[in-house]
Amino acid sequence: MGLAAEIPIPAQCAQATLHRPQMARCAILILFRDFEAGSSSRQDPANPMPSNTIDRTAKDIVFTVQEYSLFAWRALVNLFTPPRYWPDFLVQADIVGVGSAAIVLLSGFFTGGVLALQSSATLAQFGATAVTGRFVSITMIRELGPVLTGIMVAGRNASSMASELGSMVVTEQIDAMRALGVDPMRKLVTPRIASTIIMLMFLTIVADACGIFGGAAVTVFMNGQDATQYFSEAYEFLHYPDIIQGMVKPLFSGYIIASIGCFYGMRTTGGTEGVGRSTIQAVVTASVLIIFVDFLLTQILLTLFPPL
Amino acid sequence: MIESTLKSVVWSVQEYTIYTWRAVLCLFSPPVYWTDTLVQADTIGAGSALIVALTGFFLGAVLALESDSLLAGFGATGYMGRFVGMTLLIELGPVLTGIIVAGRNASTMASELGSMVVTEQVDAMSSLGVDPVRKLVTPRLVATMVTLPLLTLVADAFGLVGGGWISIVRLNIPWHKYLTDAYATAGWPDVIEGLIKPVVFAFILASDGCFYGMRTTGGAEGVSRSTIQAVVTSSVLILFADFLISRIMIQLFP
Repeated sequence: MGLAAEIPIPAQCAQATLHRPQMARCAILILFRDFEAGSSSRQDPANPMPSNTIDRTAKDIVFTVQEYSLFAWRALVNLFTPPRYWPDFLVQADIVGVGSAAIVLLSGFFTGGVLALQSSATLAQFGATAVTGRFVSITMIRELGPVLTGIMVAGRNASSMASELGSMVVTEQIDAMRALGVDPMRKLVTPRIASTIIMLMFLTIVADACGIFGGAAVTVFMNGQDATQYFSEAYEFLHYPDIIQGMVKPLFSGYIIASIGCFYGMRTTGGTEGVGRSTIQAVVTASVLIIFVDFLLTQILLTLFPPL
Repeated sequence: MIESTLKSVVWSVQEYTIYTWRAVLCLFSPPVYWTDTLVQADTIGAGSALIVALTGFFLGAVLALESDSLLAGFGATGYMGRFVGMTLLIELGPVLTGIIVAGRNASTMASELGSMVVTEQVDAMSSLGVDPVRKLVTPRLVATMVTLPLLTLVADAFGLVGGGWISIVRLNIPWHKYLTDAYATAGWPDVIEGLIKPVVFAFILASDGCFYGMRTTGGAEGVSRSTIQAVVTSSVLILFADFLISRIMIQLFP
């Protein structure tokens, strides 16, 4: 019926008498249920019952990572050889960029507002409410702008890519495309990846700007501070390392969003339900990876460009 | 064009209000489907635990990394524990858990209920005398509202561990100082704020997911459309509600 019925909890978990190793195994299987992606599609034909053992789950994960690496590499290499499908690129840039602008704008505004509210309450303890502007702009540009925009766009576009490509796979449009001599990777995946990388950076800039204005609205109208002070604080303490950090992160998140969305879409199996499953896997995996890569990038960029 | 858009927005809000109200009322009269509630609590709670823990861990680590230079500007690097703990507890823990769970479960609910609507299973259900709202929506609503605060606690705890890892390994802050600082600063108002937010977010994401699922039209494409609408709307609403709750809590507990 649904997802819960699709990936059942192993039968042993339902029994009352469980030995400790079995219990640990069940716990791991319950926790990893999102990631044992292909196991239902690549079942052992001799053993039709789903045998969710740990080694099988681990193998599945390693296999998925391998498939994903090959997939992402091929999609990226396609950029450097003709034919390139520029119209598709533009259409996708419109869908990803212009289509997400409204929600990115709204979420950026509220995030900046909350940031100003909370930080001015905390900074008041130090008698330092005057530096709210610095705090909001640096946090927004370095960290929250890229991450929140990435997660929002992942929720909106990684899922729509997965469901679009997934339903194309399920209705065999992809096979038809291949039979007509068009490389689906080149026609479908590469434009999406390129346009998401480019547009996510601009969306992040929009979110940053709206966040700073949201913080200004709260600081001026709710906390009754001076707007000039806020903006000069916000501008003066922003240095190039911060900007670089804020602009490099969305490039990577954009790549993650598009490649994960397309990857899960292209390996969809099992009809309409499979499409729903791969949509959700795409969103989950993309969100977790965005935050993980954000952490790695912060480490690397702070080492390369130490803040002034 | 604008007029019809506005009208449809107002109409959606009205439908949403009536519908959520019905879903809440169903909780207070029998039959309440506890089995469905448990299944949903497993899907939402135990199923999201791993990703919430992972995101929480890396979020805490990033927070410690980023705030290092910010705090150094005030000569206050020693306040790392306080900074990471408070930020996670009252703000980032609830919001990011909410948005991640919205991405995972609001979309699941919308696509599950949507495909049930499209394949007329919901109509079959009502003709068999089972109220679909009572059977499908209320359990999801209750399960999410119970499990999301717990998931938020998981995210907070893992975030604190992640921040501690960076503080100890990279910034050379002694761990007892970090933990004491984090523990001593968090007062009851902060804990209350950190636990009220996920309850409200859970309500938003579950009702949104089910609402968009139940009003799906137009086959498989309609299902994927309502899935995306559910995720987008609930994420934006979560951020908006977060702003409102923060404002109210600052007013109540200055």
